[in-house]
Amino acid sequence: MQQCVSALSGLRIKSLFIGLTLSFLTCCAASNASINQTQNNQSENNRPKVVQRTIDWPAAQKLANRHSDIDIAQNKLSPVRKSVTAGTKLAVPLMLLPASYTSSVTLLSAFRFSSPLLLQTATGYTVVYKSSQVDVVVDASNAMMQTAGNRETVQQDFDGQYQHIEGGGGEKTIGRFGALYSVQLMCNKPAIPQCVTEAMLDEVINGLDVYPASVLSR
Amino acid sequence: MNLKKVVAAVVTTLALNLLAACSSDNTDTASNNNPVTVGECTFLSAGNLLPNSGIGVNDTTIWAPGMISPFNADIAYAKSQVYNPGGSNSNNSDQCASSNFAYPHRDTFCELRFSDRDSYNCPSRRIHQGIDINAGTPEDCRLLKHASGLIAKGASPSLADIIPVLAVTDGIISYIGSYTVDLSPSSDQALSKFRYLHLNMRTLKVQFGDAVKQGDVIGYYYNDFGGTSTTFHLHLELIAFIDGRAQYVSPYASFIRSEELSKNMLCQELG
Repeated sequence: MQQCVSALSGLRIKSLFIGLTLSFLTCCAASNASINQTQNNQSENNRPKVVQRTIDWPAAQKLANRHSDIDIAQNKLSPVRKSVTAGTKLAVPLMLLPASYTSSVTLLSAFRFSSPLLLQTATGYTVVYKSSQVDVVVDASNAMMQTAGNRETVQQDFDGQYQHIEGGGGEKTIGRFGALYSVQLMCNKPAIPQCVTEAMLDEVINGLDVYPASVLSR
Repeated sequence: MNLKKVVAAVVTTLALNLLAACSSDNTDTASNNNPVTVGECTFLSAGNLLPNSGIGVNDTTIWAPGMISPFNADIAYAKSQVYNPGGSNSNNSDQCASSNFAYPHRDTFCELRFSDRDSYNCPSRRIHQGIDINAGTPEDCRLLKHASGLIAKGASPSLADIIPVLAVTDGIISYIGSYTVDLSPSSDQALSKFRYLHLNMRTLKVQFGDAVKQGDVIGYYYNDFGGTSTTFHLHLELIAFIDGRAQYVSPYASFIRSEELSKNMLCQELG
């Protein structure tokens, strides 16, 4: 009996010693962490590299030149511009909707879009057309991140896959003249069923046309 | 027997003294000599969604390395708005439940939704394209509920301006919708924009085209959703052009990191 008690006492002592030692080591290891150390598996700065896309300016200019000064004046394009000064060279070709947008569309004809609100961004521009139910937002860029498995070198025109976005909106990324344009229809009234559809977005995309950047000075 | 007792006593005393020394000073000094508080913040791994709320992605990339927290003094918690108390898929209707304002942070990027939505790397397309964040305390939440009721009866919308929401980076306000504010970074060519949802849209501090500095107040935490009901939370999206298209990437790791830096603490990953 006494030997058993002794054995148990020894076991408890060893367990206590091991437990306390482990507690001490855990406590001090935690408190020695540095705020500048990321968590073990957080990958800081391993984003894919940023590449500049090659813009086909001659092709864009050729098409833009179809819009004569008179044509532009008659269409009454008047972007409300922020942070874009006359003579500024945009990083990507300027694509806008025509002022007389109701002429050939069916789904968007009920919306009365505002004049475009345009501003220059780090890699291109953003243009916004507002209406009570749906806003058109186009984010244009000459840059993108490129993953290791992507070897895209041919920057032909393309229309990307449609996706819904939060709140009942929709988006497609299109490529024109080498630049990327994220065309979004933002639903202002998410409670409305089918507030935005792919067909509406396609009408917007089909309506976009390239204009000379000189419109910004008007 | 006596020797064993002596050894046990010495070991125990030493261990207890060492533990006392550790717990009395729960801080250490970071390389910048600012005190670091350890152990207050915890988070679950990226992609570890609530059970039965979808399939997440273990994306630990810090897509926005320079980002600060959208909340300064207020504690913020990444939490599900659909599957936690108050959410449409929860049995508990109280969005102000204390569990919604407690660690650990939980990722909600890729959380199950019913629309066909794409992302950079979620396993499916019926997904949540951002993260949801609760801010403040349960008491703040109850104040917001009370304010919301008064505002619905005609009181000033500014009654709900309790928790400011900050610009997470230098940039330009590139779009304001009925429940959305977009912030395009000035100098990070990798990112297209940060998209904030559900601010108090009637009391925004910014307009389209405004240049903002990191840390500027852009608006206040609320639940505006274009007339649709939702909980009080900030929905934050990160959009970037990747491989030829605009893609939604996970803000989760960037948000955790920004919370650590903004509040000078170290968050422990729980798994």
